[in-house]
Amino acid sequence: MIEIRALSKRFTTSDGAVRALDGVDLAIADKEFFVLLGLSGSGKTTLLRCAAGLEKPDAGEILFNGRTMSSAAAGVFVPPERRAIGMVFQSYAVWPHMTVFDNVAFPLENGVQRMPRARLRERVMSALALVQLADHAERPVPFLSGGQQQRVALARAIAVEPEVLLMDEPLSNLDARLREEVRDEIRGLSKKLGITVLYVTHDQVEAMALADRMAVMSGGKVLETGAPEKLYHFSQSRPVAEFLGAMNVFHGAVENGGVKTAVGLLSCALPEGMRNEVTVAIRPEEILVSNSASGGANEFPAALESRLFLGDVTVYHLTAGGAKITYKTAADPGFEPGGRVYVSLPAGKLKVFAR
Amino acid sequence: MKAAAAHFDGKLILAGVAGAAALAILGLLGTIVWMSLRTGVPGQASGYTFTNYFTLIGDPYMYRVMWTTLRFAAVTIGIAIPLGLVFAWLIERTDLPHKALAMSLLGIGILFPTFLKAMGWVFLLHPRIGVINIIFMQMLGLTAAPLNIATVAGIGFVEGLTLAPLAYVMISAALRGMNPALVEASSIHGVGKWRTLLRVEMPLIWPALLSTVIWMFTIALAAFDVPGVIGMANNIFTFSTALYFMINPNEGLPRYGLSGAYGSIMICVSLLLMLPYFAALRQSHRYQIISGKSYRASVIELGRWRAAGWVLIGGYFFVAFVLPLLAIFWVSLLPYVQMPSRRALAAASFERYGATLFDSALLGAGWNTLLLMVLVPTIVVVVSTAISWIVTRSRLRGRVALDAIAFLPHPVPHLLFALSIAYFALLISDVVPLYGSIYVLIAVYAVCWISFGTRVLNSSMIQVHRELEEAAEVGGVPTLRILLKVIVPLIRPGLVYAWIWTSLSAYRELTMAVFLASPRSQVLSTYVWGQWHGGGLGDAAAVAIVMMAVMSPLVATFWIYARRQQQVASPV
Ligand SMILES: Nc1ncnc2c1ncn2[C@@H]1O[C@H](COP(=O)(O)OP(=O)(O)OP(=O)(O)O)[C@@H](O)[C@H]1O
Ligand SMILES: [Mg+2]
Repeated sequence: MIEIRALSKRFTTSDGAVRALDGVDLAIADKEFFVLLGLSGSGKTTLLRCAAGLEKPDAGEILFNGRTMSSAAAGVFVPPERRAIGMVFQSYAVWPHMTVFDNVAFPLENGVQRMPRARLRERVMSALALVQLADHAERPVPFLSGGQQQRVALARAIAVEPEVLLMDEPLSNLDARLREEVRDEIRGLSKKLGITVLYVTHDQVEAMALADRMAVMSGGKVLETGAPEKLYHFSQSRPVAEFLGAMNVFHGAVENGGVKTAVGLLSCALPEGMRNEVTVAIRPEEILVSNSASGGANEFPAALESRLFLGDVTVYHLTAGGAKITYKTAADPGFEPGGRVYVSLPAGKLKVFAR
Repeated sequence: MKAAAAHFDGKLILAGVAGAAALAILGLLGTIVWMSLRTGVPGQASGYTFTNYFTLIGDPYMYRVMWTTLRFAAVTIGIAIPLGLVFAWLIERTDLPHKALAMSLLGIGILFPTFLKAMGWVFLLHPRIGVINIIFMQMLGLTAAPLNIATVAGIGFVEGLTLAPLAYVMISAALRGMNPALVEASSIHGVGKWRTLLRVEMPLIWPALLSTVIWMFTIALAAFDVPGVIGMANNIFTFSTALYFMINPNEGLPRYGLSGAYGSIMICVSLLLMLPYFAALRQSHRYQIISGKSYRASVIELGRWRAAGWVLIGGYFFVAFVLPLLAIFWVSLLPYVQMPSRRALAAASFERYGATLFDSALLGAGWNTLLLMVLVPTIVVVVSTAISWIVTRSRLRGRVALDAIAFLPHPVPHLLFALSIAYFALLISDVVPLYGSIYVLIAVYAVCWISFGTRVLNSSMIQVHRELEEAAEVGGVPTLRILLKVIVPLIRPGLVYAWIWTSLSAYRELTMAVFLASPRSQVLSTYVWGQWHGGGLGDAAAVAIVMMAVMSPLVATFWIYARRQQQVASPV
């Protein structure tokens, strides 16, 4: 549905040029909820704004449903209002001098989609109903809470009945509790309306909760694309894996089908072409720890250094053979710091990256 | 495709308006330079020559004028800066009580016409008719007046008094923005308040002080009101009054070519002064924090000195504002200028008011003034909105240059714009008979105050989040409609502020009006000016009092509004 090919965009600032986008390729399916995830400055917003037509790319192409929206080579550039998009901004961008109703109605009254009064009213009210704000239609927006303002922005974006909904960190101004609530509403709504969503965030939990598929970006490039589970468990690159969640990493060298590390010889499946120096990684919750040795593979004695109780999970810091290991578990086994335990690193969970 | 066309047209219209304004500014400045290279009267055939510059350089009179101007500027700065600094420090850094009142007393003074205050000082300190001088002479049995306002020091003193509030505004903005942590880091380590003031605050405020001094200097170079009212009649000429004299000589033809050369040099000087000005300003911004929270450094407790602080501020208000006003009022009541005495009091009456106020020339001037007060701010606000939108919002190429051009009338003396447009109107007077009409005044006022309008609106528009506009853009709302329905409502306080300020300025403006007013296009200020130089001191005083009275409610409205919008710190 959305195709992005070799997209590049650079900005010239007082201290030189910034490559905000550096050859981005993406294909987003129809009705897919697609999330762009990345650190600050990785180019997510720029990519979204290029898709919206608020920014003109220097090179590459953007296609919606096979129609070229922008192509630097062909000199094509379709302005935002002709792209059938809705957009939700990070700052909400609800107009503070208008009521809730007027905020949603304004683009319909003044934009490309002018319509008769009665139909407009119906359109606005049904959009407000979708975000549960129908009762607040006549309120001036400054009197609404942050979450409600966010929903006004959402209603305004969907009232134009877009084919693509673009959202730039729409939840970043909400507090943690509200964020989860609105997050789930957004996903529910997008599925109900059956529209394609391109969503930007720097929060990996938010990304995984929302995405059908996601792309992790860094330095203006897409590092990896895939479903959240796939990227979380089977990422091809260490930066992506580390960005999506904490990892225990062990540097080592390939040796008789395993990897020799500080903790000991780890036997694991080596991907094709891995030689010499590699890094083996495993997530803290994938480790097994017990009081007694089971005699299985990849099992090592370890010292318990400290215990951190976080409510739903408990985190232990261990050392084995000089390497630090973090262990996270929901079922707290109640180990005491200072004791000795056995750590096993299941071979199936070990990820191996070239160094 | 229709919508896309509207999108395009809107930007085109804005760019057109802004471009026309920029052309007018550059055109008027260019005309000065062009004038300087020609001889004879406008329209007369003339080759291009540097004669005017050579005449200027060879003329000893010019060097006298330069020396007078420098001394005048030095006295002005010497009075305005220390006063401004002390006021700023008292209000920003101490526990002086009733600060709001203190700020109002200082601020209101700026808004009343300077030339009226200058008139008041003549009535107070003129060697022959000055009331204070006469009192001293009688009390001490002197044969000569001890004080003389009609000297370089005298006009510098009056100019300095009027500029002190502006110095205060500029310095206090720097003090307020200064990162309090820099000061507190010193206090925390046990350095005393007074020592911190001298060793930390003063060095930090130094760049801001320097930029204020440079700004005051450019104002003194361009100042016309005080040198015009007090100096000219006593043969003291500064740059601006000397220029006026070239165009309005007692005998002979106006010397346009020479004034052009003279003006070109002034343009260069004022633009060159902007280099150190901006350098100092940039330096002072480095010591500032941008923070939404009003995080304030702790104040110095004045203790017993609180009263002294108020004596200073109250005393300033009395001397700089009340006293000259009283003097004018007194003179306006008498058939001829005389000392306050029982006999004089018996002769005092409002007779003059009845006689002068219904003069048809005055009524005409009043009407013209009203026209200026409505049309000029409206044009300024509309044009500035277009320029500021392009500068802060669009990505049009040349927007930085546009911003710089819009700023030009700020440092360049306004009287040069008046001179230039007069010359231009004369040139085209056969085709378009604009010369001497009120439209010429409207045009030049508008051109000059675009710099003010764009400063105010630039900062208003920057505060409107870009996404508010993009949210409408994505829905396909055309540019002009976004401007009118989204941006304008959000920057309304800035628009209203700029409008009222410009309207008040149009009311009080003398400099440009004096250069351009003809019998057809008299305004109130030129009417007073005419009376003053025609010897009708009492009539001038009566009209002056009426002008002040009419203006008071406007000033009060403006002040209340500006305070509510927290836009007191006007970049005059
Ligand atoms: N208008 C602009 N002018 C100059 N540089 C820009 C502009 N917009 C973005 N950049 C630069 O481009 C790079 C990518 O910016 P972008 O806003 O796309 O990042 P982001 O991933 O959205 O970051 P964040 O999570 O902080 O929003 C950054 O280095 C940024 O400084
Ligand atoms: Mg961003």
